[in-house]
Amino acid sequence: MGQKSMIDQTAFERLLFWLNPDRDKAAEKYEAVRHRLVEIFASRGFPDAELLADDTIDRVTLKVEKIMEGWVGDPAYYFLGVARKVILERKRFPSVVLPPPPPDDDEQERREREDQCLERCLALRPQGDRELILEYVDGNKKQRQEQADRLGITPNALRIRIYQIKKAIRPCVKQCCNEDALQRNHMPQLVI
Amino acid sequence: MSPDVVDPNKLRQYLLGALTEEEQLAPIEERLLVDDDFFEELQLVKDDLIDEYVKDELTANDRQHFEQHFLTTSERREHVRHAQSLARCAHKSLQKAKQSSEKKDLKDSNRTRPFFLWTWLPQTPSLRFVTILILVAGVGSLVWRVFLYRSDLQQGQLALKTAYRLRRPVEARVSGFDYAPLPNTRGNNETTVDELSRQRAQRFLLNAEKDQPGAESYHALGLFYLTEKKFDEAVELFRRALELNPNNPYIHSDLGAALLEKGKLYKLNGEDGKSLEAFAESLEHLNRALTLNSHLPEALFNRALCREYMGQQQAAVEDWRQYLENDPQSRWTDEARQHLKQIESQTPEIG
Repeated sequence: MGQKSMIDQTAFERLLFWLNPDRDKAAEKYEAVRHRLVEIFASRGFPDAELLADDTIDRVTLKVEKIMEGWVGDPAYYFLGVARKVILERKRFPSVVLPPPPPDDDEQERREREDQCLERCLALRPQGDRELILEYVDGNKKQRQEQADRLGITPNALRIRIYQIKKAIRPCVKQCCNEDALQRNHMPQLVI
Repeated sequence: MSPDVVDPNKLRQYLLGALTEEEQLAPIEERLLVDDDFFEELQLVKDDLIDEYVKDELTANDRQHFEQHFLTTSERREHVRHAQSLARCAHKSLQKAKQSSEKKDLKDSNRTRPFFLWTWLPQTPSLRFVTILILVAGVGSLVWRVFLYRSDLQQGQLALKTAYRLRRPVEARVSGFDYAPLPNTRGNNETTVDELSRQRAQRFLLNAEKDQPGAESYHALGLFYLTEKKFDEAVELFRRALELNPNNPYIHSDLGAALLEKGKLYKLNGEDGKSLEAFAESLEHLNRALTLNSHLPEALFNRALCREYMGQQQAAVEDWRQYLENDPQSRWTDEARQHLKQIESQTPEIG
């Protein structure tokens, strides 16, 4: 991926403009396209999905000046075409992908840390979210139906609400675990 | 979202790697890129799959696909760990609720059980008399010990609370103290202290520290110095207490309070660097207190205060709001509301 050094700020700005003339909307679209590309590569079974997504975007950025004038329709489709090319190349010339790292020796310690961070992050949520999500997670299909009935919403609406809570908590738990891990490694971290 | 045009089973197969032909994959991937609702539905199906995996509800075939195909990226493995953590918390919460309910049942049933002491006593009258005397002496001693006897430490703690029952000496909340307003006038060191109680507190707590050295006595003496505004001495004692009892949220909270007050003093004297350092360390200890006990009102209150002094207005607003959720009706609540109102009026873009 030596082409990375050839991608300059101008080319990137051009890419954003192609996605949307409004800079803020272009940034949103960029993130959305990247996120979806990562999902596609991951669902195709590639462990380095993020790298492949970035590679796809880099390739599009290099050619954007030539593409954008003649292109009609959503630029996302072009990204998909390049992504498919990347997939074919990978199948023909598979890279050596390192296996996932072995679990920590201190598995118990890691679990305790995650659980503490989760409790802490749940406590930061609005009142009721904690009980809602813990009841849902612990329940079976019938109990979830009963929970939805009690709340006066459909099971799918409850499912979506639970997903939104989980989505909100994840970054908090991740940050908490990272901070805790840093403290345990005695790295000074000034909280300002 | 329009679920009627989205086939969750298809998405499930897609995620498990069961779709292998390009003709099957292409339409899904095209929609994922351009259809936001479809992409959201994929995330929901992903969440359902992870949920089923953690609860061991997948079929053997699906489980194999899940482990070999789905769990390829570190992000997905992180999501699974997160789901496992949630499952453990949910289970613990349920166990706690069950135990609490069982304890209540046991307590209720114990009330009705008769206590036939008489049948346990010796039959010989003289022996029975001596046994009763010993029992009465024992019970009396126990009653005195539990209800009447107060150690130096306990007497000192009580005296300290009494000394500041009318006006509190520092702005931060200190553990074990009831509400008392701050002095009205700025620069006035008059705190309406009950001087006799203050001296008693000093005497008892110094004795306790000497005769019963330990986390409790260091903590208590630290509180005394905090009320005396001798913040360096207070910090030193709280640190010694934490060495012996590092997971006590009250000590962390009080150390946070002492550092917060120290930071305020530095700020007043124009020593901004030292002030920031003290506030930052205060925040560390308050966060630690809340990690150990997420609803500790003293730590919540002090953290909001600390953030306000650090100029972190947005974070302070969030903390004050969280405090009000946890403590909606007390005299401390009024102070919290005033702080929140003040910040919101000074920075209208917040909230």
